[in-house]
Amino acid sequence: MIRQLVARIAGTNPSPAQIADAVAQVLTADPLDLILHMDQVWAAAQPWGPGNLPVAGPARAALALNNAFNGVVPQNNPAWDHLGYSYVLENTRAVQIFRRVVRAYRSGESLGIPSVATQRWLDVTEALMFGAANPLAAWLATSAVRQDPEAVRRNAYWRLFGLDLAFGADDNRPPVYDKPDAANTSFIRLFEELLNELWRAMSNVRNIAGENQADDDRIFRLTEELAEVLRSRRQRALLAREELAAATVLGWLELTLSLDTPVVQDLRAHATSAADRLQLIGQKVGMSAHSKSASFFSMSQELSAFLRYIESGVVSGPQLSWLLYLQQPPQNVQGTPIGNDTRRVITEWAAATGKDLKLRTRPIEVRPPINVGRQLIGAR
Amino acid sequence: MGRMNELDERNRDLELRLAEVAQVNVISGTLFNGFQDVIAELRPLRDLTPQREPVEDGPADAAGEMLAAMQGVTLPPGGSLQVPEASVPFIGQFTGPRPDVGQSDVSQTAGRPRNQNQRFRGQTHQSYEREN
Repeated sequence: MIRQLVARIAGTNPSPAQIADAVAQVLTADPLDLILHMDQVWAAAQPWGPGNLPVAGPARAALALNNAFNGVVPQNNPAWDHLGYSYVLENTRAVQIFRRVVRAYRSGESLGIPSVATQRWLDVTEALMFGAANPLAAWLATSAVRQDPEAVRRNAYWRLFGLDLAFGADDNRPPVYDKPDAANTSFIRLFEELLNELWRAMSNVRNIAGENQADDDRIFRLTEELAEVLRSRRQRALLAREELAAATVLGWLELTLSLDTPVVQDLRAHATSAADRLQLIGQKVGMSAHSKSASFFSMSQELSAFLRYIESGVVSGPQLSWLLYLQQPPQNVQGTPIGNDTRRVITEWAAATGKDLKLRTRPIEVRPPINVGRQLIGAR
Repeated sequence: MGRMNELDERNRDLELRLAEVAQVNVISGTLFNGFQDVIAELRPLRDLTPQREPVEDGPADAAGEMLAAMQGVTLPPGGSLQVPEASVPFIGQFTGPRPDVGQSDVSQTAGRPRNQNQRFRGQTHQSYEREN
């Protein structure tokens, strides 16, 4: 949500100065402006579809019109990242590190005197990430029943991916959150098998003489089942609000770390990459960032596009599997392939998990095609 | 014109003799026919190459719009963002003439005001009158 907002403010083909200005506008915004804009983005996406109740009533919609970013409201599509983006970024441990930063700044002067811009950043961070009171809660998901935003995110990760974060609570105790039975525990093996097949297809893109090992039918079957698994947790737009809130929180931290921003400068954590900045800030507050943070930062946006593409169901047959591994459409063929994103995901997922996705492993079993199942129903 | 034709013919003759001496025509012929044979033998494998078809207009547009909506900004690595900051006054610190008198000087350094006859920020009119 945040990086898309910066892009909309900067406009098409922006100059470096326009981008810097857009980043500054977002990073120094009032928390209420950001939260109201987030509500506009939510309403514009029409998560319940056009024929159902509006997600915002007239009072909320009218209030949202007053935000500073009212002129750059997106249309129709979800203008935020997939939950996979938040999952990999949260695995860097950025949220827990910045919780300590906020606590240190708000409770003493051990980190120095924060600049005005950093104090504004603290206001926003407390509102977006830690539930500071606002006329409108950023989450619309935390309440007396589920108070901890991190637990809400962990619950969403578990349900959609069957995965937990790579670390425990702030004090390293096992995390406490609701862990329902309805969770996509088959996600990871399907996902990694698909990446393996896509790598084989990529290796054969320029193969014109020998046997082409790209197995488009296998890629389609894995993609179809993965989409089915993800959609089974998304019925009637479930988890959509949690996804938006998580993308906003993690997007806020990604933007904070993507440059030497005022808070990075105040913390004297100047570096040339987000992972290095996070590592330095973690050292200041006594918490180490994940050792693979660079990979997590590097693949977050590509993983978001990759998972959204799969979930959209655009790959509706083996003849369209090329959309996932080609970098350009074949001659005289229409489509928007995402081969560049896929390649980045394969490389960085392998680096982050230590699994060699380019090696052929024993194929996993996938369920029979949906059409076959439908034909069998009612057969005598 | 006749001289040109004669020279052309002589040139071709020389090339032919040179090729015969170097056996080039034999090598090229062998290579060409050899590749043709290899290509012909491998042709059935082309059937194993994935068939790629275009996406229909509706899904193609929807996927394109979805990806466009998710498009974020790309920031240069190693960049820095400077947010200008004026000096922040303490409560009660003199910050310059009142707005109705003139512009305040936001670049002044923190400290007590030099002109003791002017009011502090936050000082009430009554207390100012009482002290002066």
